[in-house]
Amino acid sequence: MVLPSPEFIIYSIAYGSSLALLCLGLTLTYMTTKVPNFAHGTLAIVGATVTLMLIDRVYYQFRGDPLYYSLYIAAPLIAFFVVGLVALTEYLLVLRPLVRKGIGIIGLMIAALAFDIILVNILTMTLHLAPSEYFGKLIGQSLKGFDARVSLADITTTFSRLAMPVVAVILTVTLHLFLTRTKFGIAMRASIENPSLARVLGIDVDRVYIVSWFLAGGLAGVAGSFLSFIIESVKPAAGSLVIVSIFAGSILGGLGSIYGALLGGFLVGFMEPMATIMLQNALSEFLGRTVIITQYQRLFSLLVVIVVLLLAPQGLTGLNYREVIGRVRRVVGVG
Amino acid sequence: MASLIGRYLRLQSLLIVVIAVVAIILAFPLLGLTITDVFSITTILIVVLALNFMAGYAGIPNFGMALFVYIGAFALAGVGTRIALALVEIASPGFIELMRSSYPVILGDSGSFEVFVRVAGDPMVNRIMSREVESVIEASPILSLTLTLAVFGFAMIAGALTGILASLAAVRLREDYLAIVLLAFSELMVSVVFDQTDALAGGPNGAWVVRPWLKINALEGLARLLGTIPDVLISLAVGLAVLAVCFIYVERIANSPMGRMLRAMRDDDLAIGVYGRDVAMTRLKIMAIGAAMASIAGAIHASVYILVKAADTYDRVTWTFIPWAMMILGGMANNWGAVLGGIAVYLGRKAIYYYSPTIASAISPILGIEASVAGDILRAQLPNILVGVLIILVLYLRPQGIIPEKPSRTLSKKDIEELT
Repeated sequence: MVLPSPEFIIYSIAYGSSLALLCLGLTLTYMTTKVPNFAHGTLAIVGATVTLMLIDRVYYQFRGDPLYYSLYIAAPLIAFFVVGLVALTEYLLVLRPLVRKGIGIIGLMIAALAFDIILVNILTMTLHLAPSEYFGKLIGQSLKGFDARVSLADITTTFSRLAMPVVAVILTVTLHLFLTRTKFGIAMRASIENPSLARVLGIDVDRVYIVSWFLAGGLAGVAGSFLSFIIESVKPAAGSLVIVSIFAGSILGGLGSIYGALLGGFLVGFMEPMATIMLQNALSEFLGRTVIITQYQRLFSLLVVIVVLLLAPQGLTGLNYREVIGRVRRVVGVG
Repeated sequence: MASLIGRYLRLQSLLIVVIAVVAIILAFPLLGLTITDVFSITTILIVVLALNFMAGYAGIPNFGMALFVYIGAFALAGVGTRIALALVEIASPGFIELMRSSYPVILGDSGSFEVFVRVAGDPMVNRIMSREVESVIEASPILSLTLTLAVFGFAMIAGALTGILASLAAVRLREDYLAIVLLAFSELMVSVVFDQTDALAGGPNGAWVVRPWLKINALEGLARLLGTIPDVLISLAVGLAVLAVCFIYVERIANSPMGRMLRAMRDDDLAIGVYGRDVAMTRLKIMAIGAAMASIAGAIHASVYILVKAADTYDRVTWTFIPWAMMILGGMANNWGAVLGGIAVYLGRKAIYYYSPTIASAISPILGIEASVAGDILRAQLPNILVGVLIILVLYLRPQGIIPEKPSRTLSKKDIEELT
C-alpha cells in the first residue's frame, strides 16, 4: 500500500482538525438541548462567508503587505463572534420558545431544519446582493489562491493548513481548562449532566445553555473560516454535505461527550480523504488504469454513520472496551 | 341519532372540501395558474400524504423524502429509457442497428451493451435516442402499457427497498438518530451517488425521459383548450388517480386497528413494545410503503419533464422541506389537513413568486442594484425563507395545524352490539 504524499497528509490533518471543532460544537448543543442541530453545517459556511467578505474588503489595500497575514487571526476571530451570534439567534428565537412550549423532538428537529433553510437562503441572497470590491461578485468565489504558500524542505503547503491543527489544539486546551478550572465551566458540566439537580443548586441553567450555543457557533465559525481556504468554492449549499460528516464524527464520538466528539470528528475528517485516496490508488493499481473516485469521498461519512449505528450506537466513548476485547478474543480463539 | 349526526357532519365536511376544490380550480385562471400548477399540486400532495403516513401517523421523522421521490424519477429516466429501448428492439428487431447506421458519428461502433448504457447515461445519445424510442412507443398500445407497468412497478419496488435500506441502520434507535440517518442517506445518494455517476442517469447533465404514454389524438382539442399538451393531461389523470388511491389507502389504514397501533407507537414506542409489538419491524414496513408512494409520485412528476437532473431537480428544499411545511401547516396525522396545507403552501409560494418583481422594484433603489437582478434573487430565495418562518410560527402558535388530529373512527356502539 502506497501512502499518499506528505502534502495530502497535511491537508487531511487540517480537514480533520476543522471537523473536530465542528463535531465538538454539534455535540455541545446536542448535550444541552437534546436536538441535533441540522443547521450546524451551514453555520460553518457562514464562517467561510465572513472570511470571503473580509478578504474582498482588504485584498486591494494589503496585497503583498506583511500586515495581510494578520488576516489569519482577524478572520477566525470575527467569524467566531458573528457565527456565535447566529447560533445564539437560532437558540433564542427558534428553539428555546419551542422547548418552553413543550414541542416534541420531531417538531424541534424540523424547526432546526427550517432555520437551516432560512440561513442558506439569506446567505445566497447576501452573496448575490452584497457589494464586492475585489471579486466583482461574491457568489461561487474560491479562496484557494488567497492562502499564503509555505515551503518546508521539499514540501509545499499553505499557511492555513498548518495553522488549523494548532488553532484546534489551542481551542481544545482552552475549553478543557475552562470546563475544569473555572466556576462557570464546572457549573456548565453540572447542568449538562443533570439539569434539574444543577437548578436546585442555584445554577442558572438557561445561561449555561446560552453560552454553549454561542460557543458551538463560534467554534463552527473558526472552523468554517479555515475551511474556506480548503473547499472548492464558498457556496451556501455546501453546508448540506458538510453536515453529514459532522454527524458522522459526532455519532462516532457518541453524541454524549465533547472529548469523544473531538476524537470522532478528527478521525472522520482525517480518514475521509485519506481512505478515499488510498482506495483510489489501490484500485488504479489493481485495474491497471487511472480510476477517479474522489467525487464519492463523502460516502465514507455515510458509511461511518451506518456502521457505528449498527455495531455500537453509543459510539467510541460509550463502548465497554473490556467487553469488546473479550468478544474479539473469543472470536479469534485466543485465551 | 348520534351516528346520524356524525354521518351528516362527515357529509358536510366532504361537501365543503368538494366546494373548495371546485373553487380553487375555478380560481386558477384568475390567479394566473395553469394546468401545470394543478399537476404540480397533485404530485406534491401524494408526497405529503406519504410523509403524513410516515411522520404524522407512525412518528418516523423522514428527512430524506427527496431521495424516495428521486428514485421514482430514476425509474423513468434511468431505467425506463432502457426498458423502452429493449421493448422496441424486441418488437422490431434491428432497431439498434438502424440507430447505429442513422447516427454513425455519436454511436459509431458501440456494442449493444454500450448502447444500453449510453442511452440514459450519455447526454448526446440519450437526447437523440429517447425521441426515436418514444415515437415508436407512443404509437403502440401494447408497448406503451408494458412500459408504463414496468416503470411504475420498478418505481414501487425500488422505492420500497430504498426506504428499508435507508432506515435500516437506525430503525431500532431514537427518532433523532433516524432523522439524521435518513437525511444523510438521502443527501448523499441524490447529490453524490446519482449526481456524480453518468452511467446511472446522466449524472449532472441529467437524462431525457421517454414518456410511456400512448399518443391519443382525441385529447388534442381538450389540451389546446387548457393550454397544454396531451401527454401532460395523461400524466395529470394518472396523478389524480394515484392521489385518490393513496388518500383512500392512508385514510383506511389510519382508521383501522393498525392505525391506532401506529399512533400508539408514535406517542410511546416503549409502551407499545411492552405490549408485544415489534416497533422496528413496523417502522420498516411503514418506510417501505411510504417510500413506494413517494417514488410513484416521483415517476409521475418526472413524466412531464423533458430533462431530469438528480441534485438540481430533486433538491431537499422542494421535496423534503416543503412537504414537511405543508403537513405541519395542515395538521399532522390528518389527511384532509395534509391536502389543505399542501394547496395553501403551494398557492402561497406561487403568490410570493408572482409579487417578487414588485417587491424588488420597491427595495432595489435602497440597495442600489438593478430591479431585474433583485427580482430574480427574491423570486428564488424569498419563498423558501417565508416557508421556513411559517414552519416555526405554526409550531409556536398552532402546533396541531389548521385541522387538528382527530381520534380514529371506531365501530359504532350499535355495530359492536350486533357483533357480540
